[in-house]
Amino acid sequence: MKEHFIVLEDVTRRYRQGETEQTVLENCSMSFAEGRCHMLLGRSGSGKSTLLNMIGGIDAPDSGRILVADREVSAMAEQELTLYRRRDIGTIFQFFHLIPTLTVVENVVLPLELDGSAGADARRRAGELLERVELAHKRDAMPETLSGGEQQRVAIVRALAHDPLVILADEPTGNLDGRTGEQVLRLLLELTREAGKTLIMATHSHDALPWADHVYEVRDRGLQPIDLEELLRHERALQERARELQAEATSR
Amino acid sequence: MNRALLRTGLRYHRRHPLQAALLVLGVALGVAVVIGIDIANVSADRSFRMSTSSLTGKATHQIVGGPTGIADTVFTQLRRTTGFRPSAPVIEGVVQTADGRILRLLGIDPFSEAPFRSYVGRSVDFSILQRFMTREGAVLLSRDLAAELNVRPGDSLVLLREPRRLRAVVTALLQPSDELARRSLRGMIIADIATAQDMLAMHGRLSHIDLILPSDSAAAAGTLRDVLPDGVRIQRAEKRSSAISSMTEAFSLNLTALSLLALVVGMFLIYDTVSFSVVQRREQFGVLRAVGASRGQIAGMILGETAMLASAGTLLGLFLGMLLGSGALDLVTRTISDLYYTMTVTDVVLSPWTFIKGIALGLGASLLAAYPPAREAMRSRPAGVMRRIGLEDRIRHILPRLTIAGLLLLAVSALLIYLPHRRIDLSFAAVFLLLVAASFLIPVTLRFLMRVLAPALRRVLGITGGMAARSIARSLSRTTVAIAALMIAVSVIVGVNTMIGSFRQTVVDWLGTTLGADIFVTIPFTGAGQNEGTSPELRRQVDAHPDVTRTSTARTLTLTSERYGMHQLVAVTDDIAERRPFKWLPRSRSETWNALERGAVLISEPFAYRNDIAADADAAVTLLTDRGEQRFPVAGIYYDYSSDKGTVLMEDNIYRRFWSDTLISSVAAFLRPGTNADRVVAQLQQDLHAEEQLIVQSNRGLRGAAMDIFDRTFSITAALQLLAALVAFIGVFNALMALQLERTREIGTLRATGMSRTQVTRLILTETGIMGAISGLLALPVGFLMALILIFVINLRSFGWTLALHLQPLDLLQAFGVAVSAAMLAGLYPAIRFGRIKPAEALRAE
Repeated sequence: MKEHFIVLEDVTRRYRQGETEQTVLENCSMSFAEGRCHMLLGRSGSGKSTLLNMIGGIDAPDSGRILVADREVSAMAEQELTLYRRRDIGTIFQFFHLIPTLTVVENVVLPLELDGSAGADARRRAGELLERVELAHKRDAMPETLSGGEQQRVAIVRALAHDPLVILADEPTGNLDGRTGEQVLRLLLELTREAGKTLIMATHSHDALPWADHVYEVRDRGLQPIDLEELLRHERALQERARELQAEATSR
Repeated sequence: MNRALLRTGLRYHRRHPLQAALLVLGVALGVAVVIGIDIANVSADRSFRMSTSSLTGKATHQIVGGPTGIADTVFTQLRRTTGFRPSAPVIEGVVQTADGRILRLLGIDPFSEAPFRSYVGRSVDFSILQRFMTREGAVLLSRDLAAELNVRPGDSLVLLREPRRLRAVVTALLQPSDELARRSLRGMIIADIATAQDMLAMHGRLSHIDLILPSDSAAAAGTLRDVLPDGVRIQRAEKRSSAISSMTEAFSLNLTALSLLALVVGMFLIYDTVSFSVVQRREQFGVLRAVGASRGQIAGMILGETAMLASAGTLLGLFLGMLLGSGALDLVTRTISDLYYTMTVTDVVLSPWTFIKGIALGLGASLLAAYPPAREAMRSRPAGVMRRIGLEDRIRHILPRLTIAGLLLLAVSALLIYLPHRRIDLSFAAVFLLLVAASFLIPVTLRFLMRVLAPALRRVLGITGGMAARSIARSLSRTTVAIAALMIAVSVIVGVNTMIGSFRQTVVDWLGTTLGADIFVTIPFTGAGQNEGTSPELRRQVDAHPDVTRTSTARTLTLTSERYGMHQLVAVTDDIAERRPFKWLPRSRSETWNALERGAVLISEPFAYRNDIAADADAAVTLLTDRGEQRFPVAGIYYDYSSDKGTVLMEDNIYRRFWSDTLISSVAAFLRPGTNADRVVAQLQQDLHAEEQLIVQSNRGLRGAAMDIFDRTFSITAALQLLAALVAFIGVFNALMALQLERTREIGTLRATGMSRTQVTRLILTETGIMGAISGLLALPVGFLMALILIFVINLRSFGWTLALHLQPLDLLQAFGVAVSAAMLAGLYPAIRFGRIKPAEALRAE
């Protein structure tokens, strides 16, 4: 297990929109350990998605380096990047993003099919994973017939099916109701942990924090680690205080 | 190509069957038009070659003479003095059956035939031969033709050789062994030389003598040439057919260009459909990219799915093309028979090349049209970042480049027009470039117009007007394509209609100045290239009518010469066209006529153009007469639209001096002022009909007949133009509809915020209406430019004609109306659909 599995070195990313330029990340450096669950907190537009996109090889920094398993993602050429995304990364989006014209199982094996390696083994593994998320009976259904939670479970299976190095999840529960979100989150965390995968997840929801190995906050164009114990303590204190206030209010 | 991706692509089309069907239909129509015209052209050409090659048989050379052929003594002379054996006398003419079927009558000498046309000699035994040579009216026909005419050996057959009615007797049936002979014999009747001379009224004459010369033909030809009289010469056998086929080339090329136009319009349609499918799926492509699809795989997916749909379209197109081809063949052969050469048999020939061409064009054009959208899809950013890059940003970014490219193409198009050359293909290329350039200039024009018009629209139509204008300008990448397709369709309508209208008006005006006499008596027209005539006695008969004050005659012939190819010769006793328009006339009209009497000639504009005869005092033409080669000075170049072959006009006495021909082709009569021409026509018809089948027409009647031929010639052009327009309208319909349907969510938001159904309908119809109006407005100048090129460049380069431009304002207005109504019609379906949809549903739509 490598301590410096994913490494950011002085990463800067700016966006130009018309005349104005916006710096999302500036000289940001950090490293993420292998096989752990890392969570990114931060307000909307703080740069969480940008960070995930750059690690996932679908966006590139303006300056600085990004290394994943000792390979410099930020220096990869187009073809190499495509293969990197296809083989080494599993992505879960907020809006599920299943391909509407493919069945559930076809969606799951898509990265393997793209690689020309969707053999019987891969299909069996896809079937097992679908069983794990209790969707085996819907393997031939079209995505539009699935509920939001079901769609996101398929997306999780898709992200895992090709056995990638890193799973990236961008607010995977952001578009689900509380209970469904919790179920999906539990599945995602269990499955990545079982498979020993490195997970980086951007989230608004503090419900996920108890599962995290490391928590960071994206703030002021940078990335700050947060002491999880303290955060949770703080969180509990806040909840305590809220309950007190509520009790006061009802007793009055 | 990745199978999973291809499956995804095809399923997308299964979910949007209307779009897919339109794409298939667009390819099919484009391919069908090209294939149809190709089949018609190839079949006409093949039939023509077949008929000439079966006529010439194995002959390598021919001895030919003037317009009335050669004397039959030339043949006996040739045999006697040179002892040359492989030679055969031939008489050739056209006859009609009682129900109007045109057949070629071939007169032969059975004893000389064997080396030339095997199908005659072999299948006939001696007793038949005897009857064939001795019995009056004895003819041979093929078994197939006999079956079609429903006659058996021994039956008699009525044939019309206008102005006469002939009785033929079927002596025996031929059964040629090879396919080519079998097919060409379906349009042929064979008779003995003497019988044919009698039937065709060519006593003592032959059409030509066929020869088979050894490979060192020059020496052999030299010996033969020594014994030939003046005005008779030896030429290669294929000379005549190549002269005729070079005449029809321009005609075929024009048709091919028009058919290609349909394909180009079809390509627009494919481009439209594919790019809409790409735009609609751009998020999907982002996801595919994010999960690891490479750019190549995405492009492959688009091209793959397009290729599959295009294959279906191409297949359908080949099938439709075959149907269209047989219809077009009728029109093409009719025109060729009217103008160039009488065709007796026309079978639909399906050449494998036609199909290969069709498949290559269908798939090639589709993939070419799908390439830009495939590239667009290839550039899709992986999901997550893509939303930041507006698709519309890109078109705004490339707008300057697009505009410059459009202007450059316009310049190249202008260069192709102004460069002094005679290439018709380059001139058509200029038309295509003009259309493409105009499409490239649409985005910039659109942006400018919308900026200018938006405030006015807002004031006139309220909030929906302003919204419509802004929404058009905002989605330039899509509105441009729809407007371009509609503009091209409408400009083609404007261009071709203006060309035909101008041509027609020019001919009408020209007929008015050229047909000076009141009544015309002519021998019936059996087809181009038939030099029949009637006795000059006819003139005396017409003169005898009490109301006729004076007459003149014309002898009209089609000649084929080494120097000028196929052309016409007209000999007149006096010029009835007192107001004949001249392109070049160095003397006064009366002096010109004096010059003609002294041996000068007038040449028509196409003749001067084709043969590069400059308008100067030294100009002359050299014609092969029955008295040998003669040089005739040119006294003027006149406008003439009766023939694109070119005409040499000379005075009658000069003609008779140099050619041994006493026949005339027509008599023109002037009537006493105030006489009712129709009454005289009726009387003459009765007087002349007794002996001969002649056509008597008043000035008005002849003009009408001439315009009938004109309209017939252009019927195929009009049909093609209609097809091209149809393809384009399907494209526009598709584009506008897809454009609107894509706005489902936007409309949902508008409905949710309180826009009524009527307002939504008004918004959509305003938008498509504006787009239609812009297409119509842009189409007018583009169509006008196209008309100018067609009229002043392509017609001149194809046929050598100068036409006057006649604009028909009503037609222009109509074209504009068509654009607006087509666009609004396309908006109707989305308007109705959005009217029904519940706002919540629309909002949920992805």
